[in-house]
Amino acid sequence: MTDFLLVAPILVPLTGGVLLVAVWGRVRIARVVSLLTASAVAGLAFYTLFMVRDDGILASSLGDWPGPFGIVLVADLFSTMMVSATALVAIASLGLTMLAQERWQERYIYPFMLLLLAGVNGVFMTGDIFNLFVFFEVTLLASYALMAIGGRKLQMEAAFKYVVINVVASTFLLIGIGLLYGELGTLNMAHLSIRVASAEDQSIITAVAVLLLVAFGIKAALIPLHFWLPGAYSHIPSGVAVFFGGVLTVVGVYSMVRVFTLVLGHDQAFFQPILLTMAGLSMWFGALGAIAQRDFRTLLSWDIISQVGYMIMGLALFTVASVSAAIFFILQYMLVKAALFLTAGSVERLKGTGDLYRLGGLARVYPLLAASFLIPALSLAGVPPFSGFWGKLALLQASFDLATVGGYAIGAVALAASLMTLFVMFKVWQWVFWGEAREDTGHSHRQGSEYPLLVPIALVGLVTVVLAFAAGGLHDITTEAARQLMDPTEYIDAVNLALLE
Amino acid sequence: MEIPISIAIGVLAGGGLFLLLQRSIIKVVIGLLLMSHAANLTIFTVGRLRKGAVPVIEEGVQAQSFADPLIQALILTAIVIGFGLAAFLLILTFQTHREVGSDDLDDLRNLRG
Repeated sequence: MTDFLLVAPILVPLTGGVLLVAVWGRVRIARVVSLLTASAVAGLAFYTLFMVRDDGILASSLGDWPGPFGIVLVADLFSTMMVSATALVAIASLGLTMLAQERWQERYIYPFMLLLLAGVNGVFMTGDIFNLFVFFEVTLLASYALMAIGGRKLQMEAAFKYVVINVVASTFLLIGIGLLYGELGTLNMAHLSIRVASAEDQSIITAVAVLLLVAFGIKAALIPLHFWLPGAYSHIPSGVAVFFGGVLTVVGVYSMVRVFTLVLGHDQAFFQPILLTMAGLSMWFGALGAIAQRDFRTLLSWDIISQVGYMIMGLALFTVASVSAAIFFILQYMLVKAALFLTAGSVERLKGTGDLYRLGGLARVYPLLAASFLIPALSLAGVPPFSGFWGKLALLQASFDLATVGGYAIGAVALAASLMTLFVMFKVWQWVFWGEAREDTGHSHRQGSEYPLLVPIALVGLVTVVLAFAAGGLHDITTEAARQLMDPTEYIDAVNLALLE
Repeated sequence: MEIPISIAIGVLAGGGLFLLLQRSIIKVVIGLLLMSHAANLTIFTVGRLRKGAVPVIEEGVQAQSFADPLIQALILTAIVIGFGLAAFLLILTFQTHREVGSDDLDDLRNLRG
């Protein structure tokens, strides 16, 4: 049973994706199959999450090859929470695809979305660092395909940039993993965690840390490695953008948290200042970049960079409280960001444009859509009592509790950037929803009912509201998850290596 | 044996980086492929190069030295992924060329206007 539960988040969407390739072009069947698949993953993921909460970390060796020789899948609290949130975002993203995308686009989107889901879940569940690389490639190949759907000129430019930068990142990752294996002779992350402290040549480990920092930094779009992101996320189909915005950058953050706590944790003195600097720069300049945009989705994409800064800030401070805050922040961020991209997609669907200066007065015509923008927007800016507030509060507490210069400095930047985010969200509110409707200069009107579009937004939006009111309970779980990350003993025991030194 | 291979890695990585910075799309693609070869060779080298060593030790036979078979498996996986990627990149290049009618990255950028 455990074996099935751990393989299911990868195997179920993979099967669904292959099935959809077999029935290529039958859009109705594809809709049903993809939605059922994502729902099944969500159900199984939540079941696993409760099992892990009650029984501790679960592990499964594929093909019954024990310990460091075979590939292991590991479900700890952090990974199962990520899989659960990802499945919810996937359902919402598929929902918007059904409502907003052209039929010919849908044909391509469903199979690749399921393959993408399989890859992302693989990254979350794997306990083997080379396998992490392989699942990264599965994720990326599916995302390259989604990026290039349609093949319009502007899209090609964004897609080409995205592919090139990600291939370079993957090369760095591969070299890093190769060096790690050459020095330590194992790829199993639990085994690496045991061996890394006694490595003969610590300078190689530091080199590996830098390579992995760059590789994951590019994928997470940390400043100064962010420049590919805003263009890439604003030219893809809006339904796909929901999943990209909510999940894909977070996959980079997840890998960074996993590797830097489990494998490279002892080298903290080296990477802490680097990570703190990158986090601070991302928070501030991401928000600053967002203000300058006039396209709804480009603005949200810039804001991703700012939010990633908060997550890395939690990792960089490297205490149980701060990592717990980062996990809390990541979970609520995925849903909040998905809800915002859903509103952006819905506005594009209803008005035919995402240009802020051409929109206006939507609150009068679509009051419910406006309300469903306001909740995630305020949450993103960290206004109480919404979920983002609790995430930021925990992060700030963790940074000020440290009582170091770095802690105070990053806390101050986080506060300032938070204010800036609020300003960004006000800008969207003012230009899109408030005021009078501006005359559309010959742009195609695709007026329609807002009600169907509200369904996916309500799904993720309500979950963020629940998270906000259940913040205490969630905080207990994320603290436990952070404890599992910061003290890898339980993880190592669960993997149960055949050859313990 | 490590030194000539290290030089080869350096040449591949340097050449790859040089091509990556070119304006022609197809050169960028070739540059990426060269970089991935450099990565594969790096893994190959850090896995210790040994001549005439057996990868699989049979029972009862005392092997003097052994080669690590896992390294080969890793590189094989990476090469296969690289193939898929190369196919995709070439199609993307082809499609871009058909849409834009140019092989120059600056022309692509100027589309934004």
